[in-house]
Amino acid sequence: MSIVQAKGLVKQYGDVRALDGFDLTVKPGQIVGLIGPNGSGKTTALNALLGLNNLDSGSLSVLDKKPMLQRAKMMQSVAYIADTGILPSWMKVSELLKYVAAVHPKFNIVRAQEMLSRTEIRQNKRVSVLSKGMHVQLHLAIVLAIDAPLLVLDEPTLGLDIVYRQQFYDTILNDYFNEQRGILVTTHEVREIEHILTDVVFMHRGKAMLTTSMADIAEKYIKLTATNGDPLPATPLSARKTLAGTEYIFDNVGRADLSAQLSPNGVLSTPNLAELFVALVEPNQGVMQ
Amino acid sequence: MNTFISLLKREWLEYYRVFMWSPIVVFALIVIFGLTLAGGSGSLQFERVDSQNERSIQIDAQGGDDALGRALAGLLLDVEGTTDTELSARMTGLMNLIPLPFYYVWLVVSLYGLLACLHNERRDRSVLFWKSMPVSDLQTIVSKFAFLAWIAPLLTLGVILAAQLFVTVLLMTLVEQGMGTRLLLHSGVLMSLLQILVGFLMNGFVVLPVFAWCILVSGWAKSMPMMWAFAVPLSLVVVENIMTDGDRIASFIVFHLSMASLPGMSSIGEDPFGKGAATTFAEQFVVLGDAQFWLGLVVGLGFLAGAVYLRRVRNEI
Repeated sequence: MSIVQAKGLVKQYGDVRALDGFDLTVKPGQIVGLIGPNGSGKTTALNALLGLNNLDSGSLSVLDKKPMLQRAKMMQSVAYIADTGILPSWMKVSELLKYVAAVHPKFNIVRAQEMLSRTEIRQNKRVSVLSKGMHVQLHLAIVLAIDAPLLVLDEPTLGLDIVYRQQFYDTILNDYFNEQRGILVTTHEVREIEHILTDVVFMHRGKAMLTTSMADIAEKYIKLTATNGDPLPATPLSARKTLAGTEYIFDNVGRADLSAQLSPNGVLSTPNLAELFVALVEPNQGVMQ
Repeated sequence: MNTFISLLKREWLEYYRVFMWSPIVVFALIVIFGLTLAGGSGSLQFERVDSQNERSIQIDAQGGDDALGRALAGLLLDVEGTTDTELSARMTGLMNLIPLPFYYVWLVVSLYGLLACLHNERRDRSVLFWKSMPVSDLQTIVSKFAFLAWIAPLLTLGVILAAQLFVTVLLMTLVEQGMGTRLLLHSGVLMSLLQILVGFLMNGFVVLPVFAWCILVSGWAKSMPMMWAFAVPLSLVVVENIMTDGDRIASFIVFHLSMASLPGMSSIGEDPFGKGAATTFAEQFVVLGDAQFWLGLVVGLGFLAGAVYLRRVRNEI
């Protein structure tokens, strides 16, 4: 059973097609990265499956619910962290916890308090006085105390210190993720999350340009770094000059075939997500990020 | 139901400070005003004269134009010669005048809160957090309305009681010797409080279209919700006046802001010695017989439905 099932989503804003037949599936045990530049439709897609946006067409179900029509019911089973602090600044931490405990049937306040006790956040403080890092820690403590099968993260570490960022994903992996749950995450900092992803969706101009598991990427795509002038075994997806030579990215070329024809200076590796994205979207441009 | 109570608590947490402090400030002003009167300055002047151990009081004629002053004067000049029934009626009338400033404080603070409620959460993006909770937009909107219409007045009620007791005690020191206790016994405070409670209950329905309009504008406006909330109805009133020479929209608005069910409100501008500000419970329900009331319910529910829709489709600004 899929947690998220989206097919052919279309959303038009004036002249702009924010979503143009977008497909997405999130299953239990998957951590899906939604990767794409600004304006590619990531936020529109997330908003649609959080029940925040109407769609023009397409079919969408999240945990067998229609997000826009059944948002309240659906959000019992979906947790969400946004790119900037969205917790109400006028509330005290303790008040916020009590509020969530009162309206959310799957929230375990003791667990949230226990997680907060491991941080420097004091419960008598107002949300407005917390630093950006603490704000995210607090939201994370709330979200991880909710027994929800789907966690949606929209640029959750934007503007965070490096220490908090590392902790953030470690905590998600250790304290939230398991085989019954799914995570959907968007970020610009692709390198930061690619080691935790099980699957990736490249988004471009409102479409899912590539949907694949991380394991398949290693199977299907190869990066060859070679000195200029070496004969190429096949036509590459992209070529990019670097100090070490030229980096070529190939698809559907067997690693063994490539090795056999490789010049002594050539090095084979698996392209990272940023390199692959650029190779697929804009083969002649520089690497994103 | 539990969720709804939690939502009311949420509103309470957001607003209780302003709803406690604003009437306290007004109460402080009343105390200062009252003490100034008793101290012998201001337009109404009392003078205590101690002759043969009996106090008598002189009241300056300047007080004659002032409704509160005349009410006081009427009471003070002759408590002894007034029957119990008459005294109770007059005192209840007087007690009903005291909360008038508090009604307006509640109204202004509530309108401000309503115009801010959906706008602020969109501006600071906390709407994304609220919507990440399993709470429907309908529950959210109704809780915001119900809190400001019916729960917030209860916060004011404590201060109103304090103000009424203060005025009663002040009067006890001013009336003829030995009449203080009698005044207290017929002070009308309890009756007045009960009528205020009933009044606010009814008034919640009377103000529905105005309050719901404010929530709607708060959910719709990208900026300056207050400006829109005033400008749109004002334009309609002007246009109606030019086109048809009528004032139906204006009278609709005035009716729903009149707070007519609240004791004391109907007596504004009337002679407190005539009918007085004393209200019968029946009078508090007179609005039910007015077509404006029922039209207001329909319009108000329409606005609320619009606000629920906007809460559903609008997110951060």
